[in-house]
Amino acid sequence: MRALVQAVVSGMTTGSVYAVMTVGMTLIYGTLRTLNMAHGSMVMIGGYVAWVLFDSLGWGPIPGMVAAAIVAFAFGVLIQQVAVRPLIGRRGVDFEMTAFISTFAVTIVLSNLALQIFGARNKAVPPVIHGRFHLLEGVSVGWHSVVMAAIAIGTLVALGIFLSKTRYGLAISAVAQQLDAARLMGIPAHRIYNVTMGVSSALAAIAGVLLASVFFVSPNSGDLPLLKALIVAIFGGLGSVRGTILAAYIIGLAEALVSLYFGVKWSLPVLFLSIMVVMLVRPTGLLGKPEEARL
Amino acid sequence: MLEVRNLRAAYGETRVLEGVDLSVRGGELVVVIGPNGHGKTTLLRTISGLVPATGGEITFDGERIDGDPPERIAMSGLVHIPQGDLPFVDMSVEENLVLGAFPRGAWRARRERLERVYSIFPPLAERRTHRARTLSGGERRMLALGRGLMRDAKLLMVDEPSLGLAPVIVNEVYRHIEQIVAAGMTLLLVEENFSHVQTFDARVLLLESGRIVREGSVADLLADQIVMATYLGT
Repeated sequence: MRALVQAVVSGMTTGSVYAVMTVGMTLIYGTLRTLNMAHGSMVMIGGYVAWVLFDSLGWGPIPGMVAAAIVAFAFGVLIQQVAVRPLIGRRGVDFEMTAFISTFAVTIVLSNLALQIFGARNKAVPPVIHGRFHLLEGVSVGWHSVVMAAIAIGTLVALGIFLSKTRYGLAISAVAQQLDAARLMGIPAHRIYNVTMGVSSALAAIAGVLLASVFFVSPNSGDLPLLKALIVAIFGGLGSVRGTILAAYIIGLAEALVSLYFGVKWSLPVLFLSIMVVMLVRPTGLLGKPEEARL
Repeated sequence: MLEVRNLRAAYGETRVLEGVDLSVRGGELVVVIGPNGHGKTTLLRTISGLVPATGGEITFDGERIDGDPPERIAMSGLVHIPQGDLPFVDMSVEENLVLGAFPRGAWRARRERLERVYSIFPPLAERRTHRARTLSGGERRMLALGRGLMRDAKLLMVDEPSLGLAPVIVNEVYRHIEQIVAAGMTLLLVEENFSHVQTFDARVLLLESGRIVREGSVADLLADQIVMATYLGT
């Protein structure tokens, strides 16, 4: 029982971080109808920004997170302008596939740049807060996990308000749902793509700082998050923000429970197997809808 | 207000507009009629920039707009209510309307405009929190018109407001269009035939095979036996 509670708590924390890490992937798919394979690199960049500020200026993870979000926003816009926008609207070219390859190339460039600049050694970022507390008799939870979950959930709530209440947030959903109608209302499609890439990258970077204090930062530290984000986004239904958040918690919990009952080595295989089954039954994911390519 | 000269457009190899000339003056109601598949929708989509023109010129409010992206043309005061209404199906009625006020000036006045649209279309006020997906065909048409009224229009282009609606609802929609015309709006309307606009003081253009083949007042066309036989079946 104690172990179960422990696993559920850790699953919810992981799920919250997965949600922040992945929701940008689904936002980009919603507006651009392509997978951003550079998404994992934003997790890595977030980690490095937090580490640099900690290492050279002694900044803690919270201000580091704000800085990471700003830097990643700029990177997101840059990637959109350099690697994605030139591919939009080309005759006879499949945008989804070319953008997929082009953003994957960006990932390789960024990983190698990080390797050149920072070297291959892992960098450590300190946790936001030390210490543990007793949730129940025999169940102790690190304060850091609580803070991580709180920051992640706060970020998701802020995203929800941005998407449903602000001019540009609503415009992102408008472009995702009906591009022609959105443009006829004067919503500038390319600026919305920039904002979407910027916001999504900032979210990935926030997740990156949260993860950096648990794992390490290295040139490859975006690879596993990219894989996980792909799994979560496809499982939840590409383009569906709710579906993605739901999927993130389900997968976070499933990972924790599989690790508890079968051992850590089984968590990824079981995950892949269950995703394959879900895809066979519901090819569009939990809350996804079939979409047509359009750019 | 709007000047179209020798406009050509195509989907790939298929030519749809083969040199269309038309002009709309301020305060005027112009109706383009013609059979389905002869380029009416494409004409509006080319004017608003959704379909690239392959030749010719479009001047709106003194500025050349052919080649501009649709969002820039929309910002200059051309409101196009597209065929099929194209609602944002997963957003509420109110969110749909508010987005109609995206241009900055309109955005500041969105609350007052929302109330105005609700007073024109009371059914939308009742369903303000419902997702657009759940609306009936008539409500969707009202939503599309309402979205267009949320920002300042110099010219309103409406694509087949009667399409797919029950006759009673069509009359209701046309009652609203009559009000919009009475308020002094410049309107370019597309319809398959002119049975709905017979009572309007309108200039009618007949579009066939991508060209304007006939032009005149409603009275002129009503007097034309061939046009009447083709388009009203009398």
